[in-house]
Formats: sequence, C-alpha cells, structure tokens
Amino acid sequence: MSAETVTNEVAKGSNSRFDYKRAWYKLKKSKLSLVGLFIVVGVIFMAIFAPWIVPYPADATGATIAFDKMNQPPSLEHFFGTDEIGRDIFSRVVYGARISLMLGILVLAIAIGIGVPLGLIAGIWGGKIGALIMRITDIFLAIPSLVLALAVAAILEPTLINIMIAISFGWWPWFTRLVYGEVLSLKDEQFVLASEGLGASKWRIAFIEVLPNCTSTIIVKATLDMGFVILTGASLGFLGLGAQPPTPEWGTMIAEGRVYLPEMWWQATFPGFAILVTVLGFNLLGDGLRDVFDVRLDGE
Amino acid sequence: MKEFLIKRTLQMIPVLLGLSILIFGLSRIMPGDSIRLKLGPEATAEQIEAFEDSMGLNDPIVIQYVNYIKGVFTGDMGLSLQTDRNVATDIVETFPATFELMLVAMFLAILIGVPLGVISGVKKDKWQDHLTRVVSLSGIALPKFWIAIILQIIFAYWFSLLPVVGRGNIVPTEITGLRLLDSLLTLNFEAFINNLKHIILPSIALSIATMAQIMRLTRSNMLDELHKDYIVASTSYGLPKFMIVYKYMLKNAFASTLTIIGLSFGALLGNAFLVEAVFGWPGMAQYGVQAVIYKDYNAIVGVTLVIGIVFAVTNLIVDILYGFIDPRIKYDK
Repeated sequence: MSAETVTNEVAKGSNSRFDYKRAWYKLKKSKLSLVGLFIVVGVIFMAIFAPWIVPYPADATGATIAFDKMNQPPSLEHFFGTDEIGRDIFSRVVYGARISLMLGILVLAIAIGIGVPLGLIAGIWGGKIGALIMRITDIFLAIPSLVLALAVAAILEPTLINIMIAISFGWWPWFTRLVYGEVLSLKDEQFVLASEGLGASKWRIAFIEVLPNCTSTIIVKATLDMGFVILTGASLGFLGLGAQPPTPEWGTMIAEGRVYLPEMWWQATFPGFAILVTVLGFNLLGDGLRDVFDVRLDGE
Repeated sequence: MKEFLIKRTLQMIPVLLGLSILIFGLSRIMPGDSIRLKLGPEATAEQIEAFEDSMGLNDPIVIQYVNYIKGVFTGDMGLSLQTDRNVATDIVETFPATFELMLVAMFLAILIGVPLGVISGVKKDKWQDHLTRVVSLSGIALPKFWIAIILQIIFAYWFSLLPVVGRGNIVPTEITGLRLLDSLLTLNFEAFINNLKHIILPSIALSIATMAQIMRLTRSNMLDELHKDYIVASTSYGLPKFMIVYKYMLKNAFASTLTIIGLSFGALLGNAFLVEAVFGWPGMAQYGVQAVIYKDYNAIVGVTLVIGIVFAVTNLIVDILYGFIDPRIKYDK
C-alpha cells in the first residue's frame, strides 16, 4: 500500500462510509424535516414542469391582455384570481418558482465558489494572507446583507441577473467564515498532519484533504441559506430593483398587486404565500439535515 | 473593563474604514446618469460638467475619498441629490423615526419571544412546543414586506382599526426625536395615543422575524439548562416550578439570548428598509430606498455608513451587557 492511499484512507474517515440508510432514518424521524423535503421537492417539480402544470402558460410569462376576465377573485377557473389585465395569477405564481429557484441556486453557486476557496486559503495558509482575507470578510459583514445588496443594486440596472450579482456580493463572506472555522478545527487532525508529514502541498491539503470534510457543513448551510437568498431576492424585487414586469417574480408581483389594495387583495396575497411556503420548506429541510449531519453552524 | 472597552472600540475602526472605502468606491463607479437625471433633460454638457466639478466628481477618486472622510468628521456628508440638502442633515432628521421603530419592534420581540421560548422549552415535545416551533419557523420564513401588507389589509383596510401609513399627525415637542418618549416627557397623551396607533402595525411587521429567532434560541438555551444540577437540586428542595423556571433557569439562559438580540439589530435594520417602504414610515431606511432608486450616491454612502456604525456599537453594547448578566464572563485581553 503506497503512502498516498494510506492518507486517503485516513482522510476519508467517516465521510466516505457515510451511512445513507441511517441518514434517511434520522431524517424520517423528524416529521417537520419530512414536510420540508416534501415542500422542496414540490417546488422543484413545479419549476421544472411549469409549462405543463399551469392552465394559462401564456399569461405566466407575458403581458397578455384579456379585458373580459380582469380583476376576478379566486374561483375554480382561476384558483388565485386574475390581475388588472386579466392574467391568471396561479399560472404566474407557479412560473415564479422557476425564477426564485434559479436565483437561489446561482447566488449560492457564486457565494460558495468565492467564499469556500477563500476560507480554505485563510485557514490553511494562515499568517498574513489569512488575516487579510478574514479582515476583508469582516468588512463585508459589517452591514446586513440586504443593505449591501441594495447599495450594489443601486449601481446596476434593475435586472434579474444583476440582482443575483448584488446578493452574491454580500453572501460569500458567510461561507468564508464558516469554512475558516471548520479548517481551524480540522487543521490538527491526524489525517492532515499525516499528509503534511508526507510532504503534501498546501493546495493538496486544502482542496483534497480538508475540503471533503467540510462538505456536510457547506450543504447544510447552503440549504438553510437557499430560503434566505430567495427571500432577499424577492425583497429586492419588491423594491423594484430586481426582475421587471412582466417577469413573474414573486416580489415584483406583490409590488404590482399592492397598487390594487384593498379591493383586489388576492393579487398581492398569493405570491407572498408562495414565498413563505418555499422559504419555510428550505428552512425545515436544512434544520433536518443539520441534525442528520450533526453540524453546528456559526452563531449557534 | 476599561481596557476591554478601548480595545473593542479600536477594533471597530479598521472595519468601518474598510466599509467606507468599499461603499465609497462602489458609489463612484455608479454610472453618471444620476447627475443628468438631477439636472433635467435640458441640461447642456457644460452644465453637467460644471455641476460635477462643484461636487468634486472630477477629482481623482483618492482625493474625493479623503475629502469625504474629512467632511464626515465635520458633519458634512455631501449633497443629497433628492433633497438638495446635506446628507448628514437628512440622516439626523430621519434616523429617530427608524430608531424608534426598531426599539419598539425589539421590545415586542423580547416581550413575546422570550416567554414563548420558555414555554416551548419547558413543555418540550408537548403540543405547546410543536405549535410555537411551527409559528417561529414560519416567522423566520415570512417575507417582511408581505406580512406588512397583510397587516395593512386586515387591520387598516378591513377593520379600520389602525392607520394605513405614516408616523402620526400629532407631533409632540421634540426632545429626543423619539415621539413616544417625547410625548410622555411632555405629558402630551393625545400625541402619545396618536403615535402609538401609527407605530403598532409597522413594529409588529418588523418584529416578527426577530421574535421567532429569540424564541428559538431561548428554547434551546432552556433545554440546555433543564438538566443541570442546580435545577435538579432546587426541584428536590421543592421550590415552585414557576420560580425555578423564571428566576433561575431564565437568568442563565438569557445570557446567550442576548447575543442574538445584538445580531438581530442588523436584521432589524435591513428589514426596516422593507417595512418603512410599505408603511410610508419617514425614517432613514426609506430615505435609503429612495436614494437607491434615484441613484443619490452621497445618500447611499451616508446611510450605509450610519448602519455600519449602529451595528458595530450595538454589538459592543451587547458584549458589555453580557458581563453584567453573566459574571462568569471575564473580559480577558
């Protein structure tokens, strides 16, 4: 057996033999986590199959005008009613799942892509580079993410892509801080010391030895954050800084429907329920995964 | 203690300085159309140029930054494009409204969140626990602007119990700028009732997420305390359960709850942007939202900096309070 395989064996430790059956058993034990899983799967299903589920696909993405059925309250024909130009709100809410999920996934991909490597570098290299990275992280965390996203959104044109950039701008530091903390606790583990002793490079230690041991923490954090990113995206949309009409973005839809209060209450109400349920789903699932993986996140 | 205070205050400086560089830099890459927007469509290129010169926008960015920071220390935060006044003046005028809203929201969050957390912890796995947990998880997931609108629909439009927007139309003599406090100090009860009615819905909308966080944390802290020796001992001495829970357990559990209160101030500040926008609350957050929409770059920098300072100071205060509540914590270097 070569030296390398020895370290790999040690490095993989419990993670490589992750017991999926046991994890599923643990997740199943908590009813709330199952509800979360159910909601998340449901939202993903809605997003993928939106064109086949919704009764009026044309209403969902465009500005189709149908004066004969405008401002109708919820009915069997239009579950969530219709808006001021006669579009079916149910169709638009279902399509909104696509936008919110895309936003969440892309923002987290950027945040993880920037934040995790920086956290690894800060932790493994330490010294001046590490201190510098962590001080910069502090600066980005000195104001609430929503406020930072607002400030960035101000310099960009209000589009969906730009809003993703604005949110990612304030989101990566959370992952840097999380991974940095993990690295510090893993740094003196036997498998790291062993590969150091065998002359492995810092890059190798960071990305091949340590990173795989941070994945469960990152997954839990990402699941919990998914809800909050969606919430932030909808908030910016509501303020008119995100996706513009007629895009069926939930926050934007609430802002549009707000003009017709209180008579046409359904316009602003249903997109809000969609946000609430989706975010709740990701939070419940994230909570459940945290118990399964047995991770403690920063600030708990 | 004194050393700790000085050290913590000094630590705040590089972070705030860094924040100012970051935000200032961002605001200066902003496309120039904000000046054009301000001067109107008839403005000639020379007029725009002259205005930019008068604002110092054509100087090298480092010079602009140094001038800005110098200005901040003398109470000059540059001209606001929306109000044509100094940003510092605007912030001083709008900040009390936001601060009052945040204080009332925090008060509500603690008043309701802590007892619910205690109940949930003590009655673990009973129906009270399940109910409060579901409520708190939903509270975190609620879009704040949406719950604000729902509260408006129900309490303002349908039942006409409370006003839809605004901060109150009877203004008490200004002492602190916090109207509820001012009206009590001047014994102006009419103004108190009027302003209280206006603040109820916005503060509830703002407090819900924080309330939920406080509840969750109080619950888990109570669970940690539940099986400690001193609880077992006092139970065996036959002390009434109410006394054990509220006098001993809560005191110990509250120390960590305090941390979340500090952190929540940041969340409250962020969410104030949404709640103030819905309720037309004339605070700093709404001023900030307008600034973003009109690309009023000096106002954006000013508001962001003030938020950074408030956030840092709150965390400092929490650290100090921590020591008072839990004397086991020592301020080591």
